[in-house]
Parts: sequence; C-alpha cells; structure tokens
Amino acid sequence: MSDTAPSLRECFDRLVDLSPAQRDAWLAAHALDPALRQELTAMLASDARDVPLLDAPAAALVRQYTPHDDEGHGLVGSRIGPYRLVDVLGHGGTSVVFRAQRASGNGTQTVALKLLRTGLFSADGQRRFRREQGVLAQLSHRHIASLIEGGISDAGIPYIAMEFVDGLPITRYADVHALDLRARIALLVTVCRAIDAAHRALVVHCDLKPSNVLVDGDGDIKVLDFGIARLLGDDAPGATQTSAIALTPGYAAPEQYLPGMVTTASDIYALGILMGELLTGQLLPAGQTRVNLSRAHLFADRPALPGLPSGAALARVLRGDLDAICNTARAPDPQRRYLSAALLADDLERWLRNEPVVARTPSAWYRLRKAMQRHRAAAGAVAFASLALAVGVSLTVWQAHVAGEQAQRATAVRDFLIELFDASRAGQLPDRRPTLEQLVQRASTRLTTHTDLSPATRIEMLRTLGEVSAGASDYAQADALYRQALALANDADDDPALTQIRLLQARLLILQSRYADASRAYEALLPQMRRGNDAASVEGLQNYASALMYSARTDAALAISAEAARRAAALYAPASKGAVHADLTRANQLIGGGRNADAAPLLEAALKTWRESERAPTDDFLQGLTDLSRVRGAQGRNDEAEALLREAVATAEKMYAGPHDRLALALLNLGDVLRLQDRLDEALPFLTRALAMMRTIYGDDHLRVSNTLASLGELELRRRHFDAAAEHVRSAIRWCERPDLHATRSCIEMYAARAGLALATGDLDAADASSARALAMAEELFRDGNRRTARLWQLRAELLLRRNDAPGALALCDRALALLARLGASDGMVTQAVLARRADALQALGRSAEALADAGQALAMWRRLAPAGTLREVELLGAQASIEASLDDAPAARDTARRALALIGDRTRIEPALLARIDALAKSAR
Amino acid sequence: MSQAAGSSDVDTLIDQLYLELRALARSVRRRGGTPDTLHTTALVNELYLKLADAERLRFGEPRQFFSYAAQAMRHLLLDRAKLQMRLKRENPLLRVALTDPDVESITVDPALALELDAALDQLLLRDERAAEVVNLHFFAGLGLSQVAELLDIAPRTAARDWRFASAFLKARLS
Repeated sequence: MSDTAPSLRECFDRLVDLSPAQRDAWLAAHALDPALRQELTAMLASDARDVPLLDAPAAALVRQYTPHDDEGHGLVGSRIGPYRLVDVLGHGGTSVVFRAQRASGNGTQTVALKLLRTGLFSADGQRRFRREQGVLAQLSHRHIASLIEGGISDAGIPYIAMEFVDGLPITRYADVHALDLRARIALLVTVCRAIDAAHRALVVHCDLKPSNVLVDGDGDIKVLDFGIARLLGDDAPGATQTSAIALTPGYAAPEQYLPGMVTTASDIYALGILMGELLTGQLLPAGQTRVNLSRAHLFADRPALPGLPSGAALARVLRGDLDAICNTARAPDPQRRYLSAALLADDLERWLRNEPVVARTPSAWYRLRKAMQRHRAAAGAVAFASLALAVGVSLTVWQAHVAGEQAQRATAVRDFLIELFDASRAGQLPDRRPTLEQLVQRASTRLTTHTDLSPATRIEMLRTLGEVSAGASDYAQADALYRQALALANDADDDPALTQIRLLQARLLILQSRYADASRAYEALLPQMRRGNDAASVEGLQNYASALMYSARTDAALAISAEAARRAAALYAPASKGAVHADLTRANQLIGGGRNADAAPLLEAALKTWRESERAPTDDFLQGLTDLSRVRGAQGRNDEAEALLREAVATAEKMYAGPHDRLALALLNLGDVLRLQDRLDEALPFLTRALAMMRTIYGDDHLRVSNTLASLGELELRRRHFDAAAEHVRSAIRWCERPDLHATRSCIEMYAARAGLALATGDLDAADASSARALAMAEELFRDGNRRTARLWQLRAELLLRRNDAPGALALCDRALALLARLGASDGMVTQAVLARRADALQALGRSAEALADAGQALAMWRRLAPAGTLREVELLGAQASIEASLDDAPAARDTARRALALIGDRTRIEPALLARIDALAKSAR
Repeated sequence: MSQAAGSSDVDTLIDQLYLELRALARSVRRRGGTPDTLHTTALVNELYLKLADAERLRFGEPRQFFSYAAQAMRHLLLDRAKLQMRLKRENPLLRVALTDPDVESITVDPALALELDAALDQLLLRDERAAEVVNLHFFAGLGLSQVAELLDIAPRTAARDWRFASAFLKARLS
C-alpha cells in the first residue's frame, strides 16, 4: 500500500471485483478515514443494486415526465411509413401536419406529412384513398406543392407526404413585404393560373384559403393541399359529395354546404374570397347581402394594410373593375361565376394592363354567360372524373394524357368531356349513371362526328378510350377503337402516334392470350422500341418477352427479357417504381425460362423494397408474390409459398372490390398450393370462388377458366368424386381441343388430369392416350426436361404397372428420378410421387426390401412437404404396410396399417381396395 | 482527440439526438400558457441558446456537441421532473385527468431525478472524468464504447468509470 491515504476511486476500483470476504479482509487491513469507509461501503452495496433511474438513457425519462398531449407532439420522433416525424407544423380539426424526414440517397428529404386524426378502416375507404392519392401524385406544377406519396400506417391511419414549403400565407407575405395593389393582384394571377392547371388535370382543391397559399423566401407561390380535402373526405361511399368534408367557413362556396358534386366553380368562389382578403384584409361576408370589395373596409375599423392606401383612397381604386371581378368570382350561383380560373386570371391581367375587364363589358359578359349556359355543368370534367371513378376507371389514364398536353388540346379534350358527360348527367340518380361501356361508346361516336377537334386530339382520345376499354376487359371495343385511331394516325402521318397505337394493339393481343400473334406484332416494332429510350419502349420489350415466353420460345424470350432489363436499368433510378417493376418482370420471365435460382433474389429484393416503400400494391406486386411463391413451392418450401399466396389474396381483396382477374388468380394459386398438399377441404372454397370469378370475367371459353376447371378436376379426383371430376376435366379440356392449338403448359396439365382420372376409373386406354398426348407436348415445350415431364413419366409408370409391365414402370421411374436430380428438384412433390411409384414397381417385381426403402423415403418427404393427417399420408402408409407384410414383418405391417387407420376421418375418401387392404393388415393376427 | 469525427455513425447519432432534444424541448414550450416561475422560462430559454450553439456544432466537434447535448438533456430532465411533481402536488384536476395511462407510465419517482442532479454535482468534484462518462452515456445516450472513443480512453476504462459513477450516484439516491 502506498503511504498516502488512497482516494475513494482507488479503494472502489480495488474492492469492487472482490468477494465480500476479501473486501472485509482488505478493509480490516487498512485504516481508512471513517467517512471514506462509510461512503465506500454504501457504494459497494449500491453497485449490486438495480436502480431504474439509471437503467435507460435520460431521454426516456424526459419523455416519461413530459405530459401527453394530443397535438401530435407525442408522435414527434416516431416513424410513419418511411418518414421520421421531426416536429409539428400545425393542426386542424381532422389532421395534424408534421415536418418529417426520410433518408434519400445521401441526404435527407424533408416533407410536410399530414396525418389524419382517425383511421380509414374500411377497405373501401382505403381503396379510395389509394386511388385518389395516385391521381394527385401526378399533379405536377411549379406553383403547386406536389404530393410525394400517400400511405396508410400500420394502425390504419392515412398519411400524405407533401413537398415541404417554408413560406408565409399569401396575405401575411403581402403585408410583411408591404406589397402594393398591383403586386398583390399579380400574386393572385399566379394563384389563379396554378388552380387552373390543376383543374385542367381534373383536380379540385376544395379548401382554398390563405394558409394553403404560401409564398416562400424567393417570392414563389406554392398552393398546398390540393385535393386533400377530397382525399381525406369521409370514409363513406359517395364521398364526392361535400357534406362530409370539413369546410372552412368564409371560404366555402354556398353550394359546398349542399349535397352535390364538388366542382371547379367552388374553387373560383374561394379565389374571389381570397382576393377580398388580400386586398382588404378581411373576409368578405357571404350570403344574400352582397358586399362590394370597395365597401368591405367600411365594416372594420382596422388600420390600412401595409403597402395599400387606406379608407376612402382604397375604396376608390377597388371600385368598378375590381369590384366587378370579385363579384363575378363570388357569384352565389355557380353558373354565373367565371367558367375557369384562367378566365379570372385573364380578367385580372386585363386590369393590370388597364384594359376593359370582361366582368364589366356587357357584350363580352353576355357571350361568356351564354357559353357557360351551354356548358351547364361548370367544370363537368371533374364531374366526369367522379363518374369515371364511380365506374372504376383508373383516372390516371386520362390524367397522363390530359395533363401532358398543350393547354389548348387539354382544353379541347376537357370541353369534349364536358359535352359528353353533360348530355348524360343532368338530374340523373347515381344508379342511373351510364355504364363505362355506354360512355365509351358515346365518346367514340362523337369523336367520329366531331370534326372540329384536331386530328391529334382525336387520335389521342380514341387511343385513350381504347386503353380504358382494354382495362375494362372489353377487348372487342378496344380493338375497334385502336383501329380507328390507327387509321387517323395513318392519314395524319403521325409516326410516334402510330408506334404508340401499335404497341397497344400488340398488348391487346397478349390480353386476349393470342401470344403468337402478339410476338409477331412486337417483332415488327423492334426497331422502334430499340430507338425509343423511354418507358413505353422498355414496357414494349418486356411485353414482347412475355409474349415469346407464352408461345414457348423460351430462349428468344430470355434474350429479349435481358435486353429489356438492361434498358430499364439505364432508364430508371435504383429502387424507383420503374426499376422495381423491371426487376419483377425480369424475375417472372426468368422463372418462365426455368431459372428459378436467378429469379429468387431479384424477387425477394423487389418485394422488400416495395413493402418498405409503402407504395400502394399493384398487380405487379401481386405477380411478384405469386412468382416467389412458385419458386418456394418448387423448392419444397410449401409453408412459405402458402404464406406468400395468402398475402397475395389478402392484398388483392383490398385492391379490388368485385370480381377481378388478379384476385381470381390469387385464389386459384392459393387453392392449388393447398390442393397439392392434399388439404382438399381447405382448397375447395378458394378454387370454387376462383372459378366463379373467372367465369364472371371471361365467360366459359378462356384459358384461365380452363386452368381453374382442371385444378378443380384434380381436387374432385382426389376426393373420389369421379363424376364431378370428369365434368370439370371435360369442360377444361375444351380449350385444348381447338383446331389451332399449339402446345402449352396448361394443356399438359389438363391432359395429365384426364389421364389421372382415366387411371382412377380404370379406363387404361384413355389414360394411355391422354398421357401420351401430354408427354408429347411436354417434350415439345421442354426439350431439356421439366418437372412436368417427370410427373408424366410417373403417370405412365402407373399405367405400365396396371398393365403388368413392372420392369417398364421401374425404368420410367428411374428416368424420372435422374431428370429430377438434374433439375435440382430431388426434394419435392413430384419426387415424392415418383419414389412411391418406384416402390410399387419394385414390390411388383418382388424386390420388397428395396421397395420398403423407397416407400419410407417417399413418406418422409411427404411429411416434410405437407401437414400431418392427409389422404396421401394414408396412401403412403398403406403401401408401406403392404410391403412390410410381404417381407413377413406382420407386427410392423399391423402397426403401420393402424397408424394409417388412425388418420382416416372420412372412409369414403379412400379407394375401397386400399381401405380393405389396410383394414385387413390392421386386423392381422400376431 | 477523436477519430470518429467524420464517421457517418456519429453523424447519425448527432442528428438523432439533436432532433430528439429539439422535439422534447419544444413540446413544453408549446404547452406554454403560463410558465409559473421565471426559473422555468429561463431554463427553457437557456436551453434554446445552447441548442442554437449545438446547431453550429453539429458539423464540427462531436465531443463538444455531445457535451452540450448532455447538459441540455440534464436541464430538461430537471425541468420535466419538477413539472411532474408540481402537476401532482398542485392540480388535483390534472391529477385526475392524468390518472390512468399517464401516471401509470411514470415508473421512476420524479423526486429521484432531483436527487440525481445534486449527486452529479458532487461526483464532478470527486472524479471529473467519471462525471463526463455519466454525461455522455446517461444524458447523451451514447453507448459506452462510443463514450470511450470520444474521450479517447480504453473501453474498459469507460466501463469502470461508469461502474464507479453509477455506484456513487445510486448510493446517494434515497
């Protein structure tokens, strides 16, 4: 020990790791200062003590001690979707707005994130939210804060991420900078132009007010919250009605308090009110008593606004033209307001140029009013949009074309829509609204008679209508419209339009399952697709690859697919929607080409990116889930496959309210996975629903209906409902008996199903014919072999066994096993079936010991692939018991047979001969 | 002093801590109304000044930043603990309103936080470095290995400092 007295720290460090006895000894040996000793003992005692105070970082305690409030502050720091909430920007009755950030590239992206106070819990509400935010996301304008994305949090709370604008409300900005009258009017003109741009893109604001019109540090105007009122409207059907939307008193137009359609006229009213507040500093009173702008200030005893003259001087400059403009915008009758925000802006600009304003020029006003009366529904385009939504058209189709056009053409299109819709709208009840087919029909008729529209506009409209029809599965209508558009484009020598239409025609062929025709159409377009470095060309190549794949030209398909992937990688940023879509497409085609191992990582990454981005699910996402499930199924990871397919079904049900191709496919796939595991009772409802839905969509004569029928046929066969199975298979196979048939995977499955059925009913010749036909197709399609080939050899082996050709059966099984090993599929449903069949063959040859080994292997494999207690397990156990009996191992045979019996719930489901054999073996004497 | 200055790890930590502090500090300012003592107002103002400094330091010297952040957090803890004690003592209505989820969520008696604050002052007199470890680990929320890196000491030393400091502090908590 040193001579100087040790410090508290020295003593503590020395003692803390010692045992209590050693500590006591040390303390006894050292004469410490009593105070020091006391402190030291207390600390050593505390060292072992757990004190919650110091357990967690101080921040956690601070949060604990910070009283909870409901202004959203409690959520600061938490995550919503990909965003981290940084602080609260403001809150209103229905929502709280946060400043939020997310990692983006190397930096962070700051957004204004609006969180609804209550959730949208109904599937319908969520669907509408997703649909509308998709529409809004396409609204892009320099003076409109863009919607970055919308989503629904895990708790069902919808959020919207918008461009973050650091600015002042327009009224505050004008006052802070003491803007004079002309500068204020000029600001207003910019606002009007922005509103008009949105209206042309079929979006109404619904809640215009100064706090939604910000001016940033550079003097740039940004209109916020476009369409948000509608987006976050109520959670009920018919939400195009204003009644449930929170209105801002003073700014809401009179008609917004009434039930009915929201129109652009309501925004024009709000612009009038905004004009009043910007020029007089107060809200102009609404209602019957009209108050002119120039008299408004008389009602208040407030000081003059900075930059503007006061009292009588202000009244003098406002009186006349500006009064008239403001009154026109604020007219209580929507039909008497400016027809568009652009016309309001035009009038304001006339005032700025000291020209006569339309609002005060009787003749011009008269003409304008007449024009408005002709277009009875002010802003019918928006009304049309609502209708389009109501009948389930994706508005984005219209959007993409309308918004991207020159203003003039957009206006022409809009006017066309107004008239189209106007003729059908007046006074109609919602359930009397025209159907989509009627609307499209009416539109195309008008387009052929409307010669005042430019050819370019008519081409585009016809093409768009064609896309709408194709989207609604009305292929004949789509085809007719594309042909019309093509003829027009030919006359007009419009090459880009020609290419566009031809790509759409080729796509339509795919939709109609005419893959060979589609391949030829795409092949002819190859030079154009290779020249065009754009999304349409990449998509064309992707579709071309699909068409080739479906026409069984695998190598060509993979080559084109690779080219599409290369072009997509050059075109899209990593993790962008386009890139993810390209990966999913590529993976799908790799699977089609049998390259599961290459597809799996692409799929996993793409699906992960998608889920994390909280992008709304689309068909591509569903396809990705299905594809990955297929890979997992092929790998024998059936539980993972099932989970993915259940996700696909749940997602599709959220996406589609009624029958839909994608939902039906998801149901079919899930039913198949369950069926292949012999979970027949679970599979049946999914397959039945899939069939009904497919029939609703496609009628009877379609490949997908046939696929579903074939699957149901196999199911009924397993349930030993032979009549039902035969009926299903017969209906299914019709598709494969057309004269122009070429080999397809589906037909292989169908003929295999028929062969299986024939074997079960003892019609060996029919089984021979069907299996031979399936095998011929498989050999044509898969020159290097495929699991389907192995499965068919297994079927043929059963046939040979039934014809007492056991050596031939054994040889086929050995071939099948070799093929499966080469394909890397030695552990799966097919291998299991082949092993069991091989055991049968060996048993028939009297090689029971070898048979027992194969049977055991088949049983073990089955148990890994499917849950316990299935019919198949009974069959495999029965086979094993028979082999054991022939090996003179009666106890084992009896034991195995009894285990099989214990699994049997419904004895009618077991083949009688098998059941009798098991019964006999179970009862056999010791 | 520290080799970690440029590492993105530290940058991320700084960003998170900074945002957290601002959010915590602001939430009380917003509750606003009438701060009952001058002291509270001064405290929050002072905190803001420090945070403004912290903003400047964000991209500079990490150790300096974390020291400031720790001090700010210490002030906040004291402030909020007092607020909790006052809410319980003075406002029966609030206490009723706060009964279920809020009161139950308080697992550590706020009075302990006040005692801790006093004990920390004593620790600083006894062992300056151990007190700094408490600042960085407990208040700034850094892991002990990060603390060691910032203070340029061996991780084992940081761990021993923390063990000494926490025993010292715990011995002084009632």
